[in-house]
Amino acid sequence: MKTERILTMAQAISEAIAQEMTRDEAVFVMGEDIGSYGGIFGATGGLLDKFGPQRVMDTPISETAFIGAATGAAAAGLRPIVELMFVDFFGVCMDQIYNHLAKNTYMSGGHVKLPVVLTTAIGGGYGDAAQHSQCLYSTFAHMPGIKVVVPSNAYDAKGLMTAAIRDDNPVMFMYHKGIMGLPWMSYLEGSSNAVPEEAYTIPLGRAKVMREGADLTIVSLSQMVQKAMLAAHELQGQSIHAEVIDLRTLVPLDKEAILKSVRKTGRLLIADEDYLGFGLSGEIAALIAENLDTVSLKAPVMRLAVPNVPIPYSRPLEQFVIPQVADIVQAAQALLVGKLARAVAA
Amino acid sequence: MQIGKEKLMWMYEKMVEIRYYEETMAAVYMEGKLPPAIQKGLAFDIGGGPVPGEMHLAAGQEPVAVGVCAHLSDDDTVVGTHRPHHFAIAKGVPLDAMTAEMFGKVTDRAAGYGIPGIRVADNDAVAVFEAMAPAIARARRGDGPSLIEVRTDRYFGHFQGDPESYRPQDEVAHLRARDPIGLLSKLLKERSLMSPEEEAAVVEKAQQRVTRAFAFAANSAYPNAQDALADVFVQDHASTRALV
Repeated sequence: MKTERILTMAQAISEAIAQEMTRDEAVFVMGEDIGSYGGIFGATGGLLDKFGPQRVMDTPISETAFIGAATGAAAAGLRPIVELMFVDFFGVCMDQIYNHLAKNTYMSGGHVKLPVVLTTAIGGGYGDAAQHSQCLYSTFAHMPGIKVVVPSNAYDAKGLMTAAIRDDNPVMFMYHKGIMGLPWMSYLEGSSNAVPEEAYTIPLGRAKVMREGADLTIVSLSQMVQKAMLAAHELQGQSIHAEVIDLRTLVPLDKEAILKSVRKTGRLLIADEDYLGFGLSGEIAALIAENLDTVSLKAPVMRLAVPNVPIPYSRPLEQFVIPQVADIVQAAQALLVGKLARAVAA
Repeated sequence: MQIGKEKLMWMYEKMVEIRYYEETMAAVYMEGKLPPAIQKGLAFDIGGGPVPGEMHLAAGQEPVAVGVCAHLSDDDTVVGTHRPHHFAIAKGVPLDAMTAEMFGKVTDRAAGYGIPGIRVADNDAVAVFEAMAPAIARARRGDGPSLIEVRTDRYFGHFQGDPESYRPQDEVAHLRARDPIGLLSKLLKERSLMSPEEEAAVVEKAQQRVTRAFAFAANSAYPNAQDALADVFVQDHASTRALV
């Protein structure tokens, strides 16, 4: 009998990259400390030993140059995976990302293929302050031309990474530090799970129902999915049955999965770790607003996200601005206040 | 260039203070980050303890900060990098408030383009001081910026917990054998500007300041969670608080 193999998300990501490098010689990796260091968040562990410095290249701290090099290499037929440590650092090379990588396919009338996978770490919760703790997936999803992948667990991360590498478009692959399963940062353990050894893909643009429930829909992504699962478990004890949807990718967005669930539950809570304003949670709320002819709500849509402030360093402040499990529980209770009152009356 | 005793002693004292500060921070940073106080299975938890997150220490680079700041007055401003503690201390940032801030506590708020380039080959406070003199005079005259490259050393990793796989294991030991604090102490004694008793007093004083600052930080209160919403913009807090 075969026993299940539990991997951390970091292990699953590096395994997906290794398998695709074996399968396709055009795939290569570059970035800061992705070689002998194995990536500061472990996403490229073991690749240098396996594939050598020709295909696993440490770059200098020159983001504009190496993102540009990746774009050029992709245009010439290679399939680069390029890592830029923290999403917070993308500002230094935005011209390469949003004027070149994201637009050259469109501006060439669809002729230029740019199969680049841009990997980066997101998220806070460990006291790394305003310049190292953001999510910013909404920012990149906002700009046309880049697919955005935001996994919540090891199984999905492997299948999504494999799909991202095989995709002919630029894909941003954003992994939350607090679910990578690193030996030096506390993490939510639901993110480490059974991962098959053989390669497989999970299509981009397909959300996953992590848990079914009839009372409310919690739409979430990345680490927040793990928090939502803990909250749903707690709510179960209060007879509130939450359906948890993991978006898995923002671009493409699985609108149908969201609508289908909200049509069933009539209540929507969006749990997001990006900024509240002009972002993911507003986009999903708009989706519901645009479909009120086929969705009937029992309560107004509720959003949990980082209030529009940079992520503070001080622990009580950081814990306050980033939605926690207790915040999700509380928001769900507020959405269900009518049902709870009826239960008490009965 | 002849530097007077007062300046040399100031540089020496600040270097001792910076070094002791960084060594103290290195120790305090590890509190609450090791088993068994952390999540099972982890070897280290970067988010734990009184000082979470990444810690970039400047021990070894003291000459750069004191050699620069010895020229500056209260009206001057200095900007450091992500590794700035030595500059902050040499410039006279209040230690208590600075340390409390790093604890996340309330601080009781009480060469191209025609730029001259100078290279300082030694990690030596006097050499930095001498290189800075013409550059600062030039800036004060309004004649523009200068670029000064100092070949300095870093004793700790890029961040605390860094495996430092990018440098030989014995590199730091070699660097410490030519420690800039020791070099300045030797110079002061050779010129009969500092007696062993004076040295002991200076070191004790500097260390006491650091110890006091860490005690202040540890004993300070955390801010109220709602304070996270202040200071996104300037002006009065009431009207600029983030709209949640």
